[in-house]
Amino acid sequence: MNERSSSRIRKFCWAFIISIFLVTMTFSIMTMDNYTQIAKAKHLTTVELDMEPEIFYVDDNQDDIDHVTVLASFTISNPSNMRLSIWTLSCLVYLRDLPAENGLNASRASRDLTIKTSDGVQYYYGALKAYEFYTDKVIHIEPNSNVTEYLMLEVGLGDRDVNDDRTLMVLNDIHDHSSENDLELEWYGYARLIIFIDDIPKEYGALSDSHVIIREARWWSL
Amino acid sequence: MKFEVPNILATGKVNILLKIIALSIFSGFSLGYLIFYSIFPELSAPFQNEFSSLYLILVLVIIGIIIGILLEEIEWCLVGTLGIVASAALFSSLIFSSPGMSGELISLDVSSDIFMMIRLSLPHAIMSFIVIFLISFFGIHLNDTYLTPDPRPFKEWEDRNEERSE
Repeated sequence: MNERSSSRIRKFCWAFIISIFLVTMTFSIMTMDNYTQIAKAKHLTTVELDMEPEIFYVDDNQDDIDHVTVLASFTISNPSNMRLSIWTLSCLVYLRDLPAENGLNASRASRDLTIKTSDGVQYYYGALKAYEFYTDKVIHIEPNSNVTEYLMLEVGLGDRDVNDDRTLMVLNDIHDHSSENDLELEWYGYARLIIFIDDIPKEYGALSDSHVIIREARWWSL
Repeated sequence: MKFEVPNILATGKVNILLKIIALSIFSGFSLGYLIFYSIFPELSAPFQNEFSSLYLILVLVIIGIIIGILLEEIEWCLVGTLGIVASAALFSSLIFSSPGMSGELISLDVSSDIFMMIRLSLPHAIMSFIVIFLISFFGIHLNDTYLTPDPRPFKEWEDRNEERSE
């Protein structure tokens, strides 16, 4: 092969490498943009959880609780330029009583449901799991927008869920105890909302946790 | 086979050094992107759910042949392969940590992302090094057999000159 041909082949090699470089450069810019948007969705997506509980009594004397409703709403904000798919949503709501006679302030509760008073005495109160909600429903959120979802939770006698009956019985016990002893009850509501953003490479489980957003709710009084 | 560490500062080696740098940048970037793509096909353009390793192997074979043809000697091919794989690892880590360069996400911990990417891409990098270096032998063979100008006409002319002078 003469020198001109071999030089031409070498030039072709360089041209090939530079062409591949330009193509992958274009793709990598698209990938970086996409990946940045996913990271924005992952790190900047916010969920605001709000709850409005209400007790309904059997009669005007307020002796017995008929049912309890909790309207939970959560607003998910998507700050990224990509459409988000949020799936596997769960919302857990716990109710429990906190007798006011212990003189505990708002910082008295710890997450393991142990209460410590200023004199170091620990009190344990059972938490009543009032509602647990799971769904496979996928919520789509358009770029740079918010979506608010509402959830009506109701705990009453005769409902399908046996736990509801049990929960309402305990609620009534607590209510009776406080009425007999002329105590004011303060109720603690604990809700946990979990969302997953559907962009997780499933074979890399280690990454999955960082795509989970967990928001926890706050105190309320009934 | 005997390997000699090339003295890259020696006269006449600058040209080949520039070739290695250019190959490391261009091929390393392409390879780095493909490594990222093979790990995260769902996140990478063109967006697909799966990535066939055949594409990666095909590109590795082509890069191996090209560096064999362009660098011509096995010592330089070794240096070139190392350069390409190192820059591929660097570029794939840069793509992985690119969200950290965004103004809104500047507070992200980029270093942990880079370490994770190095961990994920290490098997690909080792495979790339082995394939490219082995295939570069074939590239050198192609270069020696088909692309190097035939020395025979010059040799015959030289022999005739010698005969005349005698």
